[in-house]
Order: sequence, then structure tokens, then C-alpha cells
Amino acid sequence: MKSLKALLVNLKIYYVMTFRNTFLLIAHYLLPILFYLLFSVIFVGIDKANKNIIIMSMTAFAVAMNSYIGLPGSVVRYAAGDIKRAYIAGGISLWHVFLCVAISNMVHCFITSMVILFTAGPLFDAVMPESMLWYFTALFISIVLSTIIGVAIGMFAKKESVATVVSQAIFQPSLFLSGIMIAVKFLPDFLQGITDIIPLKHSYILLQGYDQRSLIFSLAFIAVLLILLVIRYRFIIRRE
Amino acid sequence: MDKIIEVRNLDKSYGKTQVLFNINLEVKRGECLGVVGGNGAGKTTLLECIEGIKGWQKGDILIEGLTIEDDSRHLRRILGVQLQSSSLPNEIKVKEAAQLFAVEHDIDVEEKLYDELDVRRLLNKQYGQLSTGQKRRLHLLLAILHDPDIIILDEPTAGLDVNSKYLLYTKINELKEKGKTILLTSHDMYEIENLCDRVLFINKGRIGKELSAESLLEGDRHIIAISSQKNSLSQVDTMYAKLIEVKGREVYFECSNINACLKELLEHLTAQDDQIRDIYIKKKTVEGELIKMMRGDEQ
Repeated sequence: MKSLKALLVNLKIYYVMTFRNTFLLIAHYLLPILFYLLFSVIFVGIDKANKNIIIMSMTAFAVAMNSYIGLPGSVVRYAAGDIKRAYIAGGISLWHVFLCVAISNMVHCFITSMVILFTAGPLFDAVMPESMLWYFTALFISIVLSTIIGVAIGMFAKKESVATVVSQAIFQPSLFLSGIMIAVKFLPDFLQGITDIIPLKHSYILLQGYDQRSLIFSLAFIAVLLILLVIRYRFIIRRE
Repeated sequence: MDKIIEVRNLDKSYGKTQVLFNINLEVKRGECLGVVGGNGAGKTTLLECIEGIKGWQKGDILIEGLTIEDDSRHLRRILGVQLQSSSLPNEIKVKEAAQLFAVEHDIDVEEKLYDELDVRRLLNKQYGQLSTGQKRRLHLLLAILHDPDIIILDEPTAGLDVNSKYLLYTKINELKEKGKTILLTSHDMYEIENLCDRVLFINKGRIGKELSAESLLEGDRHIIAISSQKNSLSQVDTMYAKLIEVKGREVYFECSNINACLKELLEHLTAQDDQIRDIYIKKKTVEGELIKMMRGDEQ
């Protein structure tokens, strides 16, 4: 009970803090939505058939942007440095902090996704997902997977500058190899072979409809990353 | 008074560089122990080992007979820590920071603490908007809001103005009166002399001298800081006036008998046709002992 109360207080504080940080506001809301609008105009303008997948592709893109770009910096400042030391000295559980920052990111991702879901139709004549139940299930899995990736970047990077570079190094190739920007079938053969290791590709596929292979890949990524995070957490809280 | 903190044969290294050598110390329940030393002496490292933030290679640290591995949750409950360099997210409000720390100990923040540390008017300010003094007061609040038995303060008044220092001294004295055990480091010797029951000197990772408050007040030892027109005192070292240090035109002497000491110095000045420009006399202090220790080490 005490732990739950602490978690809820943490969650409220970390969520609200996002709105006081200009960079986080831009990274979590402004940029994803601006890019969604821009890319949608371009993609639907190039080929009207893209309106069938614009909600899924832009949602996958926005969730990835939120998590890969906006999240790691928030995590790394608690994983290293004076804030971490102050928290440990004050008896604050760092896992509470990481969990709350992750949940906060998931809320941001969800809100951005809903903006896309409910504006893409009126703005771009986008086609809604066939099954809303499956769509929300896939969305949940995608958000969880992207969030875990963002947390991992933040927890493994020892500085914000490193986290920024790693974020870009993961986000940009993911974008181009996931099928969001260019269909996978148009990629060179040797690149097509490695797209299975891109989590964003599987998120995008799941958002378009049930796919057992992508579901297994996504859940496997989540499991492996969670194990790595637990191991990394033990190193973070170890005495210097 | 029983022992509440025990450090036994502690060695600490950063990589190949050893920074603490066979440290042994005890802190009694309810006492205020000051730890003084020059820059890089190992004060902060020692405190951070006791706080459980830094590990060590050899030795034991016991708090109420427990190690940090035995029961870290209990130890965090009874320890209140203000680090030398501490930070919080810039966007967090003062009130939120207090809530964050309080909820981890399953308590509510006592409202009167906000007034005692003069942070009530800052409650809705973000951490990044606070001045150095305001941040220090907030960190002290966070260290004591769960009413810990042991409070560790690493240079709590560094960079503070007079008013802020006074507030902190008042609070520390209150905590002492409540029977809290306090471990304090500072470069401010006035603070150490007036707050601490006992002072431990640390130099290059080793414990040196130990002084009780009584021993500082006893006896007839004084420190004289004197400057003269012709600077003729810089080589003087007599029976009653022992040269400690020369800082520019100011010469420091330790006097075992103040009257005899002054007489000797005045005789020397007269003989050299020199005149006093400025003179400052005070009773033997922690600062004097520290300078002696550091000067002795240099020699």
C-alpha cells in the first residue's frame, strides 16, 4: 500500500514535470504532431492509397519519436550524476523513478496517438483501423516496446550527450528500415534481411493488423530488454 | 553515550589511487562531530562511505550495529543526509520535492519545517529557479523531514549568506537539543567550533588529531595574526611566540602565554624600529590546529 502510494505520488510529479520542460514538451508533443501533419500531407499527396495506412504509420512514427528521442534524456539524469546521488541518499527508490518516467512517457505516447487517430480521418480522409480492439492492443504493445527501448538508452548511457547520440543512431535507421518511410520490399535485399531486428518494423506491422510473427518478435524484444534493464539497474544502484 | 556510528579499519580507493587509509572512528549517540581537513583530504569520501553512497575496499562501517547491506531500508529511515553536491530536477517544485522524499518514508511533511527553514514562500518555485542558499535550505529540509536519528551534513553552509547561515545554525542547534547525532564537515571554522562537541582532523586520507570542545576552550593558548610596516616578524620564532604561517604581510603565531608572547614580539619590533600595522588576537582555534597539521605535513 505504501509502495503504491509512493508510486502514484511519483507518477503525478514526473508527469506534470514534463509540461514545465520546453524540450520535453517539444519532443513528446509538438514535434511528433508536426511531423505527423507534414508527412501525412506528403504521403497522401504522393499516393492517395497511403490514407489506408497513414494512421498506423504515423502512430508508429510518433510513438518511436516520443520514446527514442524524448525519453532517454529524462532517464539518464536519474541514472547518473548528482540527482541520482541525492535520491539514493534520501532513500528514494530509483526503480520508482524509472517506472514513473516510463509510465509518464507511455501516457504521452497514448495522447499523441489519439490525436493522430481522431484527426487523420477529418484531415486526410484516412481509413480507420478495421478492429479497434486489436488496434488498441497493438498500440499498447508498441508503446510498451518503444518505452522500454527509450528507458534502456537512458539507463545505459552515462551522460545526456551520449544518450542523444545513441537515440538518433537508433531512431533514424529504425525509421527507414521499419517500412514507415519506404516499404520494406523496396529496400535492397541485404537490408530486407536485417529489418527483423528493428522493433519499430514489428510495431508498425502489428498496428496494421494481427501478425503472429511480429507479435512474437515484439514480445521477445520486450522480455529481453526487461532482463537487460533489471541487470543494468543493479549496476546503477551499486555503490560507487 | 553509546556508539551509534563505528568505522573500523576503513580503506577506500578510486582505481589505483587510495584516498582513505585505515580510518577508525566512533560517533556517540547525541554528539555533534565535526570533520575538518584541507581540500582533497578525504572528508567527503569518508562521509559518503558512511552514507552508503560509496563503497570501500576494506573495513567495516556500522550504524546502530548494522551494515548498509544488513538493512538498508532501516538505515535510510534513521539517516538524514545533505550531500556536498546535490541536485534535483530543475522542473520540480519545492513542495513536490518535499512530498517526493516524504512519501518514500511514508510520512507527511510537517508544515512547521517550511517556516523553520524559511522555504514556505518558495513552495511553488521550481528547483532551477532557486538561489544557492535556497537550494541548501531545501536540501537540509529533505534531509531532516523524516526526523532521522543521525544527520550527516557535508559543508551545509558553503556559499550561503549570513542570514541563511544563521537559519541553518539555529536549526542544527535545535536538532542537537533534541538529541540527534550530527556528523558535520565544513571549511568554516567558526561553525565547527560553535556547533561541534568534538572535532576530528583528517589529512591525506588519514585521521590526525582529535579535539574536544572543552580542550579548545581550556588553557591559555592564543593565535596572533600580526602585520608590521617593515615585515620584520616573518622570521621570528621565540619561546612564547611560535611561528605558524606567513601569509603575505600577515604573520601567524601561536602563543602559550599571551602576555609573554606579546612582550617578546613588541621587543622585537622595537629593536627593528618596526611598527604594528594590524593585529588580531583570538583563542586557539580549530583553524590554528588545522593549519599546523597541514603545515607539518608539508614540512
